[in-house]
Amino acid sequence: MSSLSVRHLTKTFGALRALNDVSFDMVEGEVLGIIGPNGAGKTTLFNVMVGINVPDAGDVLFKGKSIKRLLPHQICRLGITKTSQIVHPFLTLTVRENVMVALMFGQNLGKKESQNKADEILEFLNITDVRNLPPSAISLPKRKRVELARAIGTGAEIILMDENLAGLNPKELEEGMEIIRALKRRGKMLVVVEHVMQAIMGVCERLIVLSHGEKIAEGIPSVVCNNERVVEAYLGAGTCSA
Amino acid sequence: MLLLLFPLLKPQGYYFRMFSMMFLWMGLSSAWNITSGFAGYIDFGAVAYFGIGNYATALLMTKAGLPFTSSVLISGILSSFIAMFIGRYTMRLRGAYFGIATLAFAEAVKQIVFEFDRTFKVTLFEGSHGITLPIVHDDRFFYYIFLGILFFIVLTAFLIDRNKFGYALKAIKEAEGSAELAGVNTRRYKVASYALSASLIGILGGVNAYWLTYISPLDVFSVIHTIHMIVMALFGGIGTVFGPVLGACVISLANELIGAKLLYTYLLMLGAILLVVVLFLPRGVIGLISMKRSRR
Repeated sequence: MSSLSVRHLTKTFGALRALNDVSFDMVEGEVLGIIGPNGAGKTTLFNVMVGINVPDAGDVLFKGKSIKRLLPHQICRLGITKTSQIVHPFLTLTVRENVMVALMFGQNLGKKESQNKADEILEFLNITDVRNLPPSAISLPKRKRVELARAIGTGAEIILMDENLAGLNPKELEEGMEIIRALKRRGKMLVVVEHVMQAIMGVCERLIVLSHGEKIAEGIPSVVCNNERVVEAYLGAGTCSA
Repeated sequence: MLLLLFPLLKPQGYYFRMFSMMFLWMGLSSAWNITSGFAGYIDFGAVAYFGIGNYATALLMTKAGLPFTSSVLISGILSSFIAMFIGRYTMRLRGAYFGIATLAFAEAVKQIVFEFDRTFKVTLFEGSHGITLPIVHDDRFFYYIFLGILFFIVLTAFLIDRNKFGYALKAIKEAEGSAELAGVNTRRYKVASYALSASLIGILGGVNAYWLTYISPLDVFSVIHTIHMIVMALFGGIGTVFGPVLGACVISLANELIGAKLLYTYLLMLGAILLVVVLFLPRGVIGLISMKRSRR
């Protein structure tokens, strides 16, 4: 049985149809990639899945139950959260406290326990060195890592990653991909939105392509990215030959 | 400790009243700070709950014949219930819009209390006549009550600051969207903080009515009270536990020394403080002190 099922989602903003009848399923332990040109509806899809936006039509089923009318914090506690493309950390708190908030409220842990678990997560993500600094004092790649740490801290089974690997240098990118693989080994399901094809090809088991709010392709990465429509809409020729 | 022993020196009544007034303002500013400082929802209508507390206590004591303590406690509870209702709707707004909505609410309450009797041909709020309460000649009594409530409010703020509740409020202040995504029930926490602030302000209002023995709508609902709470908290350090206490201490003392004789000089000074704080000391005097310390 699929754990997450997105059914015929449609969302419009005024005259703009950001999502048009998008459907897909996810199975336990899967890493799913979503690609598509800017404005294709990737972020809107995420926002509908975590409850920031309510869809005009369609439904999102998690473990068989509809979650489309729930608020983000309710969906988070059920087990789905996201990391935002534009990070909004809690600036006056330290990095460690940022993660503690997720542990305290996402998993309902006490303060002490949250502190210990936060340190474990920061260690896992290799950002222990900045744990006592405010997020304003660290570099953007690390802030993106903090964003991911917060998502992990909520204990959600499904983490939607909105361009969490964008703007990284090759070494950081490799490290980021390794983290995604490690999260998968820990039993997390991940949905990765990314423009960096190297990352997508490296970690995703399945790929969905969106364009103008519609799903135009779905399948294993190597097949999908040679799909004629995908090449035309987004990738351009020769991207996947490597 | 020193403040507890102070009355043993048998000072003149004037000093009791001055200290009581300072405790009142420290309490109001600290209570305001829980919503506006911790959660970042700047409340421009806090005086509404001060006035509601004043009137609730006055009416309960004079019309219902209840004793002082229970009247004040009921005033606090009433304020928090009204705040829960108002907060549910106004706290969907953010920033300046929340400020405008709360300001409008406070003005509306003032007008209702002011015009209610004339409009409905009844004798309840007494309109512009105001209400006179039984007179108590015991400055020491009020000194200890205000000191006790102040202690309770600061302790509450101190505990919130170190607790999960405080983390929720600070997360809401910094990034409400991220807080939701991290599992924080943002609406519940912010409305809870607003109701808590309101109940503490309402309790202080109730004591104020009994202390002053005469209240009228234009006095106890005056927007200057809200402005005082804001400027005091900003000056001392908004969002900190002791900032509002410090700010209220300095400014209410200044009000006592200058305000009585040179009202306009005092108001100008308030404006100047506000400007300086906004431009140069965004974290208030407390922020300045901790910044100096961390530079060493």
